[in-house]
Amino acid sequence: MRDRTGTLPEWALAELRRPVATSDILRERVMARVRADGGAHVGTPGGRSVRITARPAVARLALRHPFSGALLALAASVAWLAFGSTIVSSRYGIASVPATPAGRMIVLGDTVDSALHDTLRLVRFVLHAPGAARVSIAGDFNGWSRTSTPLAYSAGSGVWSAVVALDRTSREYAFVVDDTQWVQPDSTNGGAAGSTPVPATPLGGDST
Amino acid sequence: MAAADAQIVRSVLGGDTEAFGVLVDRYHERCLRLALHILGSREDAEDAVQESFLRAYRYLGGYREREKFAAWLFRILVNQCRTTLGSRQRRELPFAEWEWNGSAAIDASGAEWGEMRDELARALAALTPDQREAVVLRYADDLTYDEMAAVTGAGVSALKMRVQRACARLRELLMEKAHA
Repeated sequence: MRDRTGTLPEWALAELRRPVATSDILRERVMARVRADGGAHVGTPGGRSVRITARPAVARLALRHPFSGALLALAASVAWLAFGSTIVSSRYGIASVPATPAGRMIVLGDTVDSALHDTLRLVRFVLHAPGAARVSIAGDFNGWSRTSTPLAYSAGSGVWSAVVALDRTSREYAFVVDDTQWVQPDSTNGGAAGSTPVPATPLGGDST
Repeated sequence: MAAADAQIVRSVLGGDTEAFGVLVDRYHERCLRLALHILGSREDAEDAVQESFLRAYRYLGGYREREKFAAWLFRILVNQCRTTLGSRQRRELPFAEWEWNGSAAIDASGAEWGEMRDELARALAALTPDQREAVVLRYADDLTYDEMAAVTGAGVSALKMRVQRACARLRELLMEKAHA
């Protein structure tokens, strides 16, 4: 029997129940993130996608392509800077993407001075991958697009980098190397041999 | 005959990632409708739904078949909506000032929200988060109080009280508007 403790006008009930518009784009966004998240369904926290963390980070390169081993690995760093707010000194690292068992572990560079008081911040993404032809960053801030946020290459250092303004809700990202390979920092593995720390440049100044 | 939710969950856990899309198709609209009424913002609602499905996928191994999948998913969604509302409060943006943008509000037929729906949305915004959550779950998706208790973690008596107060407040607000 219907409970009558609360009632609303019929038109209000109809409005509450009226279906809302959805789109294939929304559905595909969900599935793109699910696919990028890998195959972990163990019901434990963590999963396999990336979170920007307040820890020194370590990167893992997922070697899915036969010649991807030629890519030297990577390192990444991230710098956060809040617009118009007080600079707070702290260190940040990274994290990212779906892993494959053949992943190669490399240490990531330290970073950075930052502040976290406002809705936007500048984040510097840095990846050491001198053998790559293209590197981009994909994350929840760009709908996990593999192409919309490319990194620029510095031939002298072998470092790819980009500075992106992100809002506070942006939390997850991954590097995409040569359009197909996902790079996953792994903060549980610190200081692997052969690592290539990338010195991070604090994003100083007031960017209000 | 459509596969049962539990059967799809088993397929996903068995490695068929694409099977998760069936669950997304099946529940996406209901989740979006609930989130839209709770949050009052299309953009926030879409983000909350997307994040909820991702969390559901990650923690799918924690789902137990004795429970309805929809109830399990809605619990994740409600928690995500609470997180979004909490984030707004930290930014000192009251719910009512957040966004009531009719241009983003389109119903399933593609028509823009009508004036009545807009008024309902504004009235919902005037409720406390607990009241709004309760009345939306009760009437937008016709959940029973037992189901609502499983979704929200609140007791049945408390939920009935919230719905009762929410309805009284909504009637009052909508009546004021009607006589304005």
